[in-house]
Amino acid sequence: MDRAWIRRLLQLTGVTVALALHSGMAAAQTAVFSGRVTSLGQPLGGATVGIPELGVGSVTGTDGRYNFTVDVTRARGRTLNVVARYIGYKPKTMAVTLAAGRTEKDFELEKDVLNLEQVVVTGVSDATSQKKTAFAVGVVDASQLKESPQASSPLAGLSGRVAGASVVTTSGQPGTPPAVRLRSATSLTGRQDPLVIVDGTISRLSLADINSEDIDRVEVIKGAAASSLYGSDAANGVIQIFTKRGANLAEGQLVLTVRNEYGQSRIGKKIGRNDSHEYQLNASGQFAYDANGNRIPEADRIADNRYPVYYDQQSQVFKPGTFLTNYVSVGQRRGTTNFAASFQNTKETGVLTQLTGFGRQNFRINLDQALSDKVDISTGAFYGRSHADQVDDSGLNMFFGMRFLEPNVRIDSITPQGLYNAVIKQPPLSGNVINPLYYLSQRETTNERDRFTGTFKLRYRPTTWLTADGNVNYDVSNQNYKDFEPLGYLNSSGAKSKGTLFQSGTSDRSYNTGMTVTAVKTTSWFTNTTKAAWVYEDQNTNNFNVNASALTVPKVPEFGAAAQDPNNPIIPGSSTLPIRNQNYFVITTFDIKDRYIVDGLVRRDESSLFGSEQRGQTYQRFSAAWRVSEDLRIGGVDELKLRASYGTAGLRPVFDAQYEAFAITGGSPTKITLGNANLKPAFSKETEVGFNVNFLRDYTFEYTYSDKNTNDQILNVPVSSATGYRSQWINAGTLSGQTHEVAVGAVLASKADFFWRVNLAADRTRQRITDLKVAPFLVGPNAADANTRIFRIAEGEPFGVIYGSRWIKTADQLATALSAGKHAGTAADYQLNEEGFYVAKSAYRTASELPLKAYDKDGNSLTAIGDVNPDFNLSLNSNTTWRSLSVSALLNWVKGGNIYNYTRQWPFNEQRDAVYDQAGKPAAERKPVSYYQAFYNNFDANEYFVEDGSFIRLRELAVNWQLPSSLVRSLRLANFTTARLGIVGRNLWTSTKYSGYDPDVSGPGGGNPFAYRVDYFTYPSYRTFTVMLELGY
Amino acid sequence: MQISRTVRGLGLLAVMAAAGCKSLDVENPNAPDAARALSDPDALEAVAGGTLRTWFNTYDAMEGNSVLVTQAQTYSASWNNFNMNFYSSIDADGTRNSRPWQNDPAAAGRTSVEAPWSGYYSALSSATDVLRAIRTNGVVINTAADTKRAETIAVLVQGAALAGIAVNYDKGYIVDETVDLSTLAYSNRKELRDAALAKFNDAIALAGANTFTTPSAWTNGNSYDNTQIARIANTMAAMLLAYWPRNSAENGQVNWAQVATYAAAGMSSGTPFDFVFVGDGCVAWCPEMIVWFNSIDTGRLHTRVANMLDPVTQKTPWPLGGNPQPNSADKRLGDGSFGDASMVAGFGNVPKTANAGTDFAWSSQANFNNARGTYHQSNIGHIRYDLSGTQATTGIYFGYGPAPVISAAQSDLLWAEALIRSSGSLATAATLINKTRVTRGGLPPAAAGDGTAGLTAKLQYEQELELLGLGASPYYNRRRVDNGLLAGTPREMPVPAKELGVFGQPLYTWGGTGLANSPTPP
Repeated sequence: MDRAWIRRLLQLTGVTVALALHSGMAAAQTAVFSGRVTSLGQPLGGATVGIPELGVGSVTGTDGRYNFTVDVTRARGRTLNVVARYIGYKPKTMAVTLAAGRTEKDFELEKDVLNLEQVVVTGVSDATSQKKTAFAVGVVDASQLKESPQASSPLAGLSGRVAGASVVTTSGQPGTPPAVRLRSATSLTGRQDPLVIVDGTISRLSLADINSEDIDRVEVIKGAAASSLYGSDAANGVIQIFTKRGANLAEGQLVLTVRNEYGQSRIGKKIGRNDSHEYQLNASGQFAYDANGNRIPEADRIADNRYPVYYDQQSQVFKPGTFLTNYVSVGQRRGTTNFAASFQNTKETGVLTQLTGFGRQNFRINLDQALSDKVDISTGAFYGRSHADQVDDSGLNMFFGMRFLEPNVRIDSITPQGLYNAVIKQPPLSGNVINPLYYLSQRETTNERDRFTGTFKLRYRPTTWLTADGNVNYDVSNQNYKDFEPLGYLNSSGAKSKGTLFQSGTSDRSYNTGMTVTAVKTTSWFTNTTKAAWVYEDQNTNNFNVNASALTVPKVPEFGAAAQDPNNPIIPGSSTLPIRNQNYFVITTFDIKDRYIVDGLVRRDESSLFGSEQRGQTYQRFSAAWRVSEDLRIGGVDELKLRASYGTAGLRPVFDAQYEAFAITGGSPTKITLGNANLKPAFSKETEVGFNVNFLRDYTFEYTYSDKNTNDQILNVPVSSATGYRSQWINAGTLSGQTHEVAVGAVLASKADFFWRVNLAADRTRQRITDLKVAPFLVGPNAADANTRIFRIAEGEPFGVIYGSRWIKTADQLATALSAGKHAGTAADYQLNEEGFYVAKSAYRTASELPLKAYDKDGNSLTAIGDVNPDFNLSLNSNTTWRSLSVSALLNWVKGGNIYNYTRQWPFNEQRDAVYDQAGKPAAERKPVSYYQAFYNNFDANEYFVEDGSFIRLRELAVNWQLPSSLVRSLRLANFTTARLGIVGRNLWTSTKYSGYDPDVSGPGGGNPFAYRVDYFTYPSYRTFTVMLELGY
Repeated sequence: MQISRTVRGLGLLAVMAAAGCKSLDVENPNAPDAARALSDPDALEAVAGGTLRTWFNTYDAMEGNSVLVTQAQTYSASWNNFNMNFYSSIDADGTRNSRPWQNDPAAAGRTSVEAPWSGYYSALSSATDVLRAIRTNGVVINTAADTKRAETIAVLVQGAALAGIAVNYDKGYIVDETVDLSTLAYSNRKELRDAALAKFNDAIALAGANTFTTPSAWTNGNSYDNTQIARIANTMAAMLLAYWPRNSAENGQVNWAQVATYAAAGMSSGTPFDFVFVGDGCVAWCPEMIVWFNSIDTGRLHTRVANMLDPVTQKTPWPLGGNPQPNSADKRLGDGSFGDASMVAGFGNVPKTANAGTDFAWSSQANFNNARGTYHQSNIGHIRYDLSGTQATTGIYFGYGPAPVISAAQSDLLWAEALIRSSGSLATAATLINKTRVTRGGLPPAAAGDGTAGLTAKLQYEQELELLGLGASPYYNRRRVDNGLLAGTPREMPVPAKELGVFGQPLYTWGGTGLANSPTPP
């Protein structure tokens, strides 16, 4: 339902009624429409009834009744349509010939269970029914989000509900928003985040600040074929979020909702470990030691001996945590005013012991006010604050160190000082090992954010065919991050730290303002909607940080405690990132005979992020749709629409890409980046074709094919070292992607007391680098982390290919390696072992047994060893209602795609992986530790650590019981008249062969978990299970 | 009429809104461009001083150098940081003696040849910018003396950077203020050496002709006067000539008399001094080689060198279970005791006794399990620069404090070597060797009577022990001319794949089953 249209009707109604009462207009010149809107006999409060051609109408009260008056002469003898609409119901139209006097018309609306009449506004010239869009627009509305609102971000709710939308948890750390990619990748090295707009505010700040309960609906367009309207920052698609307003309420209605949810979070699974070792034991079962005090390896080097004692350290670190949300909303509509206000409090401790996790309080109010029959305003204000008690999971952190724990290491013993014992290193363990309990108890990492968003929109309608909008949207965030390691902090060897204190304050302020003029021309055979707009964006990010690497006293996490040590200076830093964009566009849409839709747009973007010689870029779109079923009747087909769209959109460079830059290090400038005045945004061209078919009343099928080519890839490439510069950002490549999307909806039962709807969404994406103007290179999730740079960018290769070495597992591989001279002897000198690897026959089942590295005929060992791209994604969403009981479930299936598991490879070096444990094997098949050690491969990528990333996950499960009103009354719950009791599960169950904590992995930095599926010691995702009580009236 | 009012109103609003917009031409407020960094005299002076830091951070970087010292079997490390383990490992595929530089953009090991190349050229480029501003554009930094100071340092760093390329790579670019970068061409390593030597000579002349003292900020702590700069340039010139050869044949062609001349005028002449930078925890100043190899639980002495210190207790290769506590006649090791009792659990040390060594300590612990290769293991750690004496963060262990990169002793030992190899005074050579052998090691003095072979052995003993921590050259470059490297070990680096890729040139490498180095240029 188009709220703008509703508001217009509402405001005009009020004015019209006022005019009727006070202008002294003769009753004989007016027609008065009144009646009742119902569904299954029940009144529908908040429905709109009106005559769109004349811009008149009214909203029903809680009794379903409406009433509006219209000047008869405005009809000019035409037959007009009275339309009744209500969200979630199919609109109903009645033709009328205006005549003076009173007309009583009742409307019985039918539920739109398949959302066929849904109205969208994203990417189109004006509010448009889904029946008439020329490209795919995904919509997730409050009815889908409300069952299990996601605490981390409203975007988490897109998972499984929008075909082509991939949602990945970048870190299980409470309060961390997921990453979203729509269709194929557009950027070889940059992020894939879509442009997000919240109530008109172009938002580049954290969506973790926004609570899902406030969301009315989310609209998603997935690529340039639809998103050209948003220009140079929209090649990744656009997500528009609309928060709840009071406009949908019944006239005079006051609604109050109180929702409380409480439950527990738990780690999904633990990682397997090696419970055996290779060392000699003495008679009492304790380790035997040599003269140096070192353990003595057994000659067979087989890890099959029991430890003297075992501890389950993972169970001591991962503890059930609390999940709590309280939500109160109130809304009212009265005359020309409506509002919706809400408060939400959330508390999510996560699954790590000792941390209090994430807490957030949000306030929001949206207010709409008609000032006259031609002017109305919409305003909104949002304030949120959050506090996170975190653990650093960005690098070699606690999750790293705990992977090196031998099972006999006790981590909960207490020193005489009352602290957990930090000095747990036991040779031959390296100093990589960390006591996680000591770490968590001593280090403090906090992250606080304040967020304010203000929206203001003025709409002026000088005539029925012309509307002018002006808007100002302001978004500000202040973040305070602090990391404290106290003086005397011990590493696992017992070395004392001088302590460190780092604090960073980041202030983001952005606003966007714009003006839009929309003209609608209706003739007997077409309607044209044309919009012209100007948009200005101004964003400024300031950061100030201070680092002290030595402290003078313990337990004072402020800079007053910093040591005045010339060898450990206090180092400040700051940065300012001003970004400005100015954009214009014109879009026009012809709706011909309600069945042929043709649409075109041109947009011009100017940005301070483009090189000084490339300040402006132009984008365009052409699209068309044909509602075939309006021309051709096909048995059983209720609606068939063919559609095609071609559009262009861009990706803006990062702030400093265009500049020649020297870094000031140690007080002196040093060349870093060679500037590029001709740097352009990446240019994405997408062709989208597809069809929508609704058939047999209860079924929908949508298919979309997208072909996307993103040219002018923005790459930071090396330059000759002779210049002194390290690199330069240039436009130098093309990434091509093809996506098939299918969405199926089915109402399997629709009876008075039983309703069952199922939705299926699936997609398959393939992406390839079709052009690269620079030498092939490796990339990874974090440009600063060389360890995980294992993804090869090369012309002709798929995007997402993992590069590394393989081990000989076939006779062909053996023959090739032998012919290349990389291994001695002939094939007869080798044989397959029990684990599928070729080994030297002479070493087979001895302490010298080793796997053999594979080589090509030229003697190269580096090759493609994996591909992160899934074969397909599929989601199944089921909503069932039986009487007062409702059950909704969302199942995700990601089939295929590899994950590179560094979380396994790194501790593999120190034999911490379960595969080392030979205790359960037949004696003859036991392998020595040196055999497995070979796979560690100096920590270089190899196929041993490439794992299948497939999984099936029950992402959401909600069971709710609507309490009988009699019971609610008898319980005397204040004045509440409705009550819902439920249980909610999130990530309840996951089936996967992946050996890590969870197949949602993002690597260090977490910037692009779709292209770089790397497991690298991040906070694992977890499950939550809660009970919910919702009261309302 | 209403429409025209509307249009006027909207137009007015549009004008007002547009007037409120700021320019899209945004200057980068966070980092200067060349115009801001190189035109202002004060900024230019900072660039000049910064060339020393860039050179230091390259010369002492673990990336590249750590591989050279483990290939030289001087230090050892089971860690594979900086590809140390990879290039010095007996791999699972048995290719220990055939591992070339992984000069491939898809290979993890490529970074070892990238880092020195880009680091030295970064220093060279900045030094050249300074000289172009001063010599071509006539920029004056405060006073004529300050200008000459910056000019001298820039020329010195040009020499040091070109020397870094000449000593380590088969070819490279000769860049200075007279070179047009649009016509870049490779020069062979001999041409690079000669170009570097010319810059050192220029620096010696400039330092001799002017009077100045460098700001302490240029080395983050120490100042050097013009005579010291000249002596540093002399020592660097001696190092260049001595460390340049790839094999014994080329070593035989070195003008050792010229080396002796440079070394004699170097840092040990007059009042000896070390060329010292001060680390700041590797934020901007990073004595990284010392950070890693003066930490008992990261890098260790190779058993080859440990065995030289105490052949009785420190066996090489490392026996399973390790070597027992030493009892070395060399005071630099002594009984290997170190630190205090609080460290024993973590570091496996023996708490310090009266017989503790000054430079080395013994640990009972192996850093990793044996399956990673016992050849990476040793019980002896280098702790000479661990200022805390306890492996705590008060010392160089975490990169804080004074860190020498070239020492007076290094100049002495080069001088001694030059005398021995050029048939110079063996008595003088013995005296130079004894400066550390006797005073620091407490060993019987060397004497001319030891003869060339005897003195060479004692010289090499001192070179192996006394110069540890001072970059890679003192040992890797000695080992490559003395056939001390294992077969297949590359003896120089190729132009990095990243650089070759810029110009679309074919990849190549040295070492493994191929040639260890390029032919001697004519």
